[in-house]
Amino acid sequence: MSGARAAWLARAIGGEDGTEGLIPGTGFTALLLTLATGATAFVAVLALCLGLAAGRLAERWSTTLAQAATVRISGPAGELDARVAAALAALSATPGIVSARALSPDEQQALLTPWLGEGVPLDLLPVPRLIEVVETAEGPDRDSLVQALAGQVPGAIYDDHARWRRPLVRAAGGMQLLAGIAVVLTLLTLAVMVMLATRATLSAHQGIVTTLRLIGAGDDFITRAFVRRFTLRALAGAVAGSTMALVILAALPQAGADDAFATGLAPRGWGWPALALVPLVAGAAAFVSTRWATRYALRQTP
Amino acid sequence: MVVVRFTGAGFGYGGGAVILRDLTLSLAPGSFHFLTGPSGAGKTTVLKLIYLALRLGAGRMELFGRDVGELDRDGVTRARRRIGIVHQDCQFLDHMTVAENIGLPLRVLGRAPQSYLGDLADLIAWVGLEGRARAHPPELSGGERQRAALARAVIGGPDLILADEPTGNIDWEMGQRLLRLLVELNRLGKTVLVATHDLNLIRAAKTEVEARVLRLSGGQVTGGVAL
Repeated sequence: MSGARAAWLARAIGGEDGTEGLIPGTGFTALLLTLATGATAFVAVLALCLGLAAGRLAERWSTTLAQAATVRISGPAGELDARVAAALAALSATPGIVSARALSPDEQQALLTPWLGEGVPLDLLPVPRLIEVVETAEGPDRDSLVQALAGQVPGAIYDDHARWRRPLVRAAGGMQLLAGIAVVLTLLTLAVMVMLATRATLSAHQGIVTTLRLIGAGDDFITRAFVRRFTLRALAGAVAGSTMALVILAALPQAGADDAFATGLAPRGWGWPALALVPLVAGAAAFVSTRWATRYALRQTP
Repeated sequence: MVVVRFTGAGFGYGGGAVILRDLTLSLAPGSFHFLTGPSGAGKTTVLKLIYLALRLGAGRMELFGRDVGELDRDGVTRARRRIGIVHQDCQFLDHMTVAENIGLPLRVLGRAPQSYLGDLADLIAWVGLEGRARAHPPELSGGERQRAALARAVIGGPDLILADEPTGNIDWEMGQRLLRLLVELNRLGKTVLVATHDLNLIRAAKTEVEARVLRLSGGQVTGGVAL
């Protein structure tokens, strides 16, 4: 922004430039504008929060089980140990595998306890054995590994979780995109509302505009008067709406640190200051739209 | 340099009846003119053309020595700052006080109120509205409104003062008071043009000022009679 423009902005919305009180401060349109910008900012904050939460969810889903895989080995009980050993040997010889470790009976017992209860005799059940695999960042050549396991270890199934993880990441990404679109549309709606309110007020106060023009007021002066009135009103509404949304979000229960997938809707870290930008962006949208609407209307005034 | 000069000027509203045709008229600096004529003759139209609320349909008009056809929007704004207008309906900002309305022309010039409070108080006293400075325009009588409008018209120190039927809504005594104020301004060197159909006002001015009467009829000025 140039120095001249910055000075214009400062005078338009803050400084004493002679435009104070030129446009009547009361009226139903003004009240509606404040309410509407408040509601719009409230929705924008929630949409932004949804987008941030979806982003966290996508990141968590894409990283939590990334570089991790499981080999499931089924077969007759007497052959399981040999098949596990063969699978471990095949895995250790495969590029892209950092480590491979067979889960102990106690670990498998712990995995099944939530479904089958305590003290289930695993040795009496045809439960497959599990091997936990840690991959490098690039990972192994999946097709070659699957073929190798199929050739050397009958009943071995390699599961890198991609089958269910990818759709979830895609879904979270989609939610993030939708939230972003919602934020943009909300702010556009706010700009349009301010523009309509400005035009309505210009029509209602055409006499003021005409009088100001006739006593020698330039377009710049009259524009500043309207920009001041509407930008400050929109800003006030947006601050109120955003604050209400932030208070509600802060009061929502937070996701615990041990929650594997739930992230909560409240923002974290830099998300809070990012949300504080909503009223500023709303104010900027109001500023631009008021200026445009006023200049457009003034062109119709002699 | 004349203040206003129409040369072969023509004007009609939106393709309707022609209001002015081949109008030739000039106002010298420091002159006092009455523009008279029957209702609908085009007196207000002439004033609107001078303060650039309307544009000529034909011919030429010079304002303060410049062809108005060459003025851009900023040029129009600058020209209007040299003109003080007293409208018949006054055109105040009703949500502001009388004092604020009178000071408006200086506000639009970017003057801080502190810098002109003294002049404003003097002017309010000059038009006899000391006790009404904090009132709002709807609270004023017709005469008070006209005097406030005159104060607003002159606070910026214009070179030309236009008054459109200034006595139309006020009684005789108040009309005389307003006339004396206009005459005082003229003695200070301001060019004054008063559009009126009030012949009594024109006759009364005879003893006060050396004015000329322009009669508008059939879209042309047919007189230029000295009082």
